[in-house]
Amino acid sequence: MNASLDPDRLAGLLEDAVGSVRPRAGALDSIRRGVRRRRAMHRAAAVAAAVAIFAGGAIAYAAVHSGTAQPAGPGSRGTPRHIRSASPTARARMSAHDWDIDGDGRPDSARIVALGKGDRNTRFELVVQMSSLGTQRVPFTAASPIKSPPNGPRIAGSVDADSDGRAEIFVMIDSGAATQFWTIFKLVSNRVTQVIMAGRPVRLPVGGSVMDISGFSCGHPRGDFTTYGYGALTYGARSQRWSVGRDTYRWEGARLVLVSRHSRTIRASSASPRLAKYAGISCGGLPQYAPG
Amino acid sequence: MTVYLVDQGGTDDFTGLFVGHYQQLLRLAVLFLGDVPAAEAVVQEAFIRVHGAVRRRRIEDPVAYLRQTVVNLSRSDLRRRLIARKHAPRAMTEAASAEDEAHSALARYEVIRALRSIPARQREAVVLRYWADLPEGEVARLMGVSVGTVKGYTSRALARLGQLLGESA
Repeated sequence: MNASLDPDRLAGLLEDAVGSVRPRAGALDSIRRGVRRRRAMHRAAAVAAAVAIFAGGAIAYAAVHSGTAQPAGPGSRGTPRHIRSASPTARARMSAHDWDIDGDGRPDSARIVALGKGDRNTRFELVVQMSSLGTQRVPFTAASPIKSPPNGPRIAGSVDADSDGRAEIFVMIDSGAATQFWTIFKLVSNRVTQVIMAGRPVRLPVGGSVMDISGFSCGHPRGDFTTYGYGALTYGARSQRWSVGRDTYRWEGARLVLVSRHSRTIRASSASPRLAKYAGISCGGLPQYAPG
Repeated sequence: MTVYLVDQGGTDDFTGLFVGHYQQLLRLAVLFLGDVPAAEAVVQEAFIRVHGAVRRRRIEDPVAYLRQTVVNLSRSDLRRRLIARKHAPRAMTEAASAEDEAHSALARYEVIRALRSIPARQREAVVLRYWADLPEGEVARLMGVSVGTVKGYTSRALARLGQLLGESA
């Protein structure tokens, strides 16, 4: 007859299994490099914030980057528990089409409304207010606030990613282990729609840690959209080998259709510029993701 | 005790923290995640974050902060890998093959295979309680649940592990 495992026996078995796991040579150096990279990212974010503030977009910038919480008031049973909004971002980094979601030359705005209650809610709604098409609501699912701290999904920005004169809205819907996942909303046939990639609502991995990084770029001459990333195949003090990949997509209505896929293996140090071109966001005024 | 971590070169507090705790936290993350490269990434990220956190504010107990961060990041990493498995470009798939090699080294141990087959929360609870030897209250705090829930997790996990490992009464 089988019985519960004795706790001491379990502890012994586990110790046997991981007793040989030791830090790699260079682990501390790797952490120190990570600290330096993180400081540089925060400095860059601070500089961008300062530029934005001096450009006169301070309030809008704060709304975009931190999300504004508006707790429901007394007697508001059934109303959204919290709302995060965003509006045209700082002029310093804006192109003519940023936040012009309907393409009429005037800035629009968007906010996120939680459809359910509590920290475990995963149902949200993007409420888009457009100057020519009025207000539209698009439901979407995202990681709950408790799984995607501090406040669940938030709007990252709005830029014209496909060069069609109308801005797409980028929303962070999940985060964890220094990686975020972003989705995109786009105006198609006068309806704001969540963009589909490979048959599902798009989830773009952004950021990462020591061993893997992901990012994307847009605004190519033909309006192509590119995702890229790298992951460590071997990661030692003397030899670091990486798998790097780049996928190019074409916009077809609300779909991103894979056009080409490129991947290869390279040897480089983790600080090499050869890897840097497979990381980060290069898409108009969208902010770089700087994990906490 | 309030600990300040200052990067002064030489043997600073941060280096001391690394020397004293990195290996144990790495093993903890290995038990959570089942592979070494992912565990290294998680623990290194935790150290990067503790370094950033102490620059912004005092941290009463950096080891507790690190442990909590490792628990949170491991949980996030498991979730992220589930998502990434569905959506990863080919490059990420190749990266996973390296993880598979590391898996195979650990998978020699029946207990690791058994541990990977039980629910993540139960795994966290038994590893923190019996391998890390933390009191139930501390395990509950780290996992964000009640002590009763921890007892439930550990009880079910030990029963299931007993079945999987064929422990006889």
